Amino acid sequence: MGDDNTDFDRLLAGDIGADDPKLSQVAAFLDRVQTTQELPGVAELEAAHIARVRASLPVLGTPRTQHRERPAGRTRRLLVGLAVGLVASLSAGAGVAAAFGVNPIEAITNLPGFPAQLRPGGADPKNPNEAGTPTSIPQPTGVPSADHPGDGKGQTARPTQAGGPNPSASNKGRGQDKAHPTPKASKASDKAKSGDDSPRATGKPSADPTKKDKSDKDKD
Amino acid sequence: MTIGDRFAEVLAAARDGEDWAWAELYRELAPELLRFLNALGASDAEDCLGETFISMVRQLPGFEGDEAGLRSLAFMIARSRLVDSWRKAGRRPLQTELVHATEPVMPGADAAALDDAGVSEILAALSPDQRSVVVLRLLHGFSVAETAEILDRSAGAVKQLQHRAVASLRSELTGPAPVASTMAEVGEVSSPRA
Repeated sequence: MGDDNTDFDRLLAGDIGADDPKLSQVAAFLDRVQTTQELPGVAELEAAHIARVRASLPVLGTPRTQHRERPAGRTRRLLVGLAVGLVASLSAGAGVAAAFGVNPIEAITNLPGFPAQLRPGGADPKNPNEAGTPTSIPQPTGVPSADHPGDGKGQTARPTQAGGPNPSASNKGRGQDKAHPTPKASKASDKAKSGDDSPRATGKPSADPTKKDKSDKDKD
Repeated sequence: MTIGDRFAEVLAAARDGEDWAWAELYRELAPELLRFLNALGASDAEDCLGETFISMVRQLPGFEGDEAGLRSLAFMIARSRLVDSWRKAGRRPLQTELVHATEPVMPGADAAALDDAGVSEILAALSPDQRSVVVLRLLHGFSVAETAEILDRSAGAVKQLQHRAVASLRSELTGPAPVASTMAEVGEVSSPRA
């Protein structure tokens, strides 16, 4: 067998002499095999076979695809969660603030660290003197009803507040409004303060300065 | 193969499913694989070739080796697909050999003057494993060790197949083969006979 294996190596190397006629026939045959078995063309098969390869790739779930999709899904879920949480916390905070009778927006703007530029009127509650000067004297926009004399929140343009130390356009005075005596409760004191020209003191709150002047004239 | 220094890049891209990388591997491997399948008598060599590349897609993530290693893997897969096709078709390549075992296909033929059909007929007279060894070593230049890996045999078994292949070719070309040698072939052929 060893000789035959050597023969095979000699056959492969083409190193077979004429000393062995049988082996030379085999050598000639192997030469013929090499010449007849040429490399076939595969150009016409390539497109179809590559398509089959491509079709089998998604089944395997290539690592690149998996790594691309996972972070995207996590980020999307995180952003949605943050948005939902923000809306929920704002809604809850606004509800709690309203329950305590505080203007939620005002409470937020009064939080420490809140940018002064974003405050309505640009005023810093810690330094009211540094607040921006109002460009015009606020004017009352409506007449509060007699049934709800304190319902003037948001209508900050009371004549008495026009020249106040903090003439912010926002209503900071809901609590202040409550501190003021209601017209019904202070009728006696109002009569005693006949010289007070404030609309609150008259018991007929009027936001119209002309009416105020008229009533003052009537009193006089 | 001519991929050379770019082999690692092409392999990584093929693992990532890049079309261009698979096209490059296909152009390098497919012609040789198709010749191998034709030489072994595949009934549908082109379909077998496509199945070979699909199997490579599945095996490539676990492959670790160089360009020659990938080439050996491709031939190993191609041979497995060929054996599977034989099983599906119920074909028994050995039957042809047994019919001609005591009667040379072309006694006294001038080997140098054989045409394509004559060459194929004499090759068909060899057992599938003998034919595989001759084709892999002669046409594709694989070493004994590489051939043994492709055929899932030991190097000693490959050398024995070489010896028997030469003896069979001698008998086919010049006269009847020894009976003892022919009977020994019965036990050597692997799965395709089953």
